[in-house]
Amino acid sequence: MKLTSGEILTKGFFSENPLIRGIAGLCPLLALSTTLREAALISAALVAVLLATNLTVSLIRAFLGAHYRLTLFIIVAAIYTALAQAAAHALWGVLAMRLGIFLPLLAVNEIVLGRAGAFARHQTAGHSAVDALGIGLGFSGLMIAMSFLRELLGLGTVWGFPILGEKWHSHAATGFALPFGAFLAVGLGLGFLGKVRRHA
Amino acid sequence: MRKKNWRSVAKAETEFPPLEMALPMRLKGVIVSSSPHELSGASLSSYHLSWGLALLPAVAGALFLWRLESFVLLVAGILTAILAEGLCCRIRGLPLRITNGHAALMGCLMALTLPSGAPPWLACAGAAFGILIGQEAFGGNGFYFLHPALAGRLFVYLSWPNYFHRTPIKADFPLTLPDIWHGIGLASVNDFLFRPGHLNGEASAALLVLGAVFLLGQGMKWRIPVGALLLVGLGTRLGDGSHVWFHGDIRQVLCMPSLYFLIVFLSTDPLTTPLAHGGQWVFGLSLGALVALLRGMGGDPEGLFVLPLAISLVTPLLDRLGDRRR
Repeated sequence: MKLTSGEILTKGFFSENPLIRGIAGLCPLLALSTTLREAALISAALVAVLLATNLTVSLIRAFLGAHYRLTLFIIVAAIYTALAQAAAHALWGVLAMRLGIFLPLLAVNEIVLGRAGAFARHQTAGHSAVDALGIGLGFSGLMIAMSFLRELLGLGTVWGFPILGEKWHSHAATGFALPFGAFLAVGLGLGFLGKVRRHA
Repeated sequence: MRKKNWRSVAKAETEFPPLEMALPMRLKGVIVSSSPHELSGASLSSYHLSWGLALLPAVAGALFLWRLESFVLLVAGILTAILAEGLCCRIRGLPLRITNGHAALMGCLMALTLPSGAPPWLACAGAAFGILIGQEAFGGNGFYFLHPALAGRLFVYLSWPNYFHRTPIKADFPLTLPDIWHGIGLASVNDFLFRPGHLNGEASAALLVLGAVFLLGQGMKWRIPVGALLLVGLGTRLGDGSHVWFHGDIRQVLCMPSLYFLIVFLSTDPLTTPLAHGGQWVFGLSLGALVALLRGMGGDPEGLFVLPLAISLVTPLLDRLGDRRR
């Protein structure tokens, strides 16, 4: 099966989107889609770690043995996660603190390890980078859409600003900002996308 | 064997009838729906009608006590629920089922669980959530596993908790028993008849018991309220008097309208409670134990309304316990 770069990029948006197709990466999606800022930061960190890990794994794929492959993936991902964490804390300290454990957990994120094992270790560096971008954007798109809705409904704000006025802000349905609201929003969102797919 | 990628799965879904076929729907002029009960003449409409009649005393009490506030809440809840169900039926291409009264009943129950004096949009939000997500998202009437009214109530409570912690509108029946009754130690009868709670549906314990007795004659799952009452009573008697409900005086507990509203009207929904007799006993007993614990030791009385929801999650397991005949 030979894919062009364009196909590799776009398949991550929908047909192989890790969230829609594999229900992978739910952990950050559920926990960090409360506000748009947190979602944007974790998405950026995930895209960066995924891109770097895919590239590295693709470049060292000639030396990957069967027995220590996963260990190497985790080491590579952990190195880049540590870098991303340091960068996030340096640039957006307070926001990065709010991400809590989910930022360091990118080192064992199923999307990162999954793409390294399923795609990058067989493919050239260029294709791996494109794949990382496609998958990363597919994840980020859903993450940002979800957090936009949850922040608007649950807190009445967008990016921290009460754009619909103070009255809506004080009457927002806090349920959507609570953990159960995350499950609700994700379930409805996935159900809707499944419906769209069936009619497509 | 066909390669199982998502395209072929999607194709298979169009070849074989989807789950929605099992729902009552028009199929080339044939209407498939639930089986008729030839002998008893029972139908969904008659069932919901009897529930509505059972709620009538409580509704009348609420209208008498809180008048316009209560009326607006009830109308808002019922209308929103009917609209939401009609909308879903229309979207899914099903015949309109609002005439069987299920949506109206859920909207009514939802409005009765709100505090008197809550804004009407709270009832709209709760009824819409309960019907759209609690009921229709799981397949509509006949398929939901969480009581829609309670699910809507829980959502509303978690989203706008400050409306639930306000001082309720003060209202009392302009009646009391004559003093002679107090003299012979029947003070709690007065409470039983004329002391309202703070929710819309809790005008008086006596009115709720009246409805419960009527439901009993209509084939209610009586094991659930009886089991719950047993353990609530036991829990009260066990107390040393230092807690809210564990004070040893069971008469005071039995005069609370919220008790009857919870264990009769919100916990005997036919769909979310077990069919099996043993399962009904376990449901009722665990409900009673949790109510006694929560009121005795817990901080937030609003938590009571989560309990039937929580126990109904294990209803499929409880359904394996014992006989299923009426």
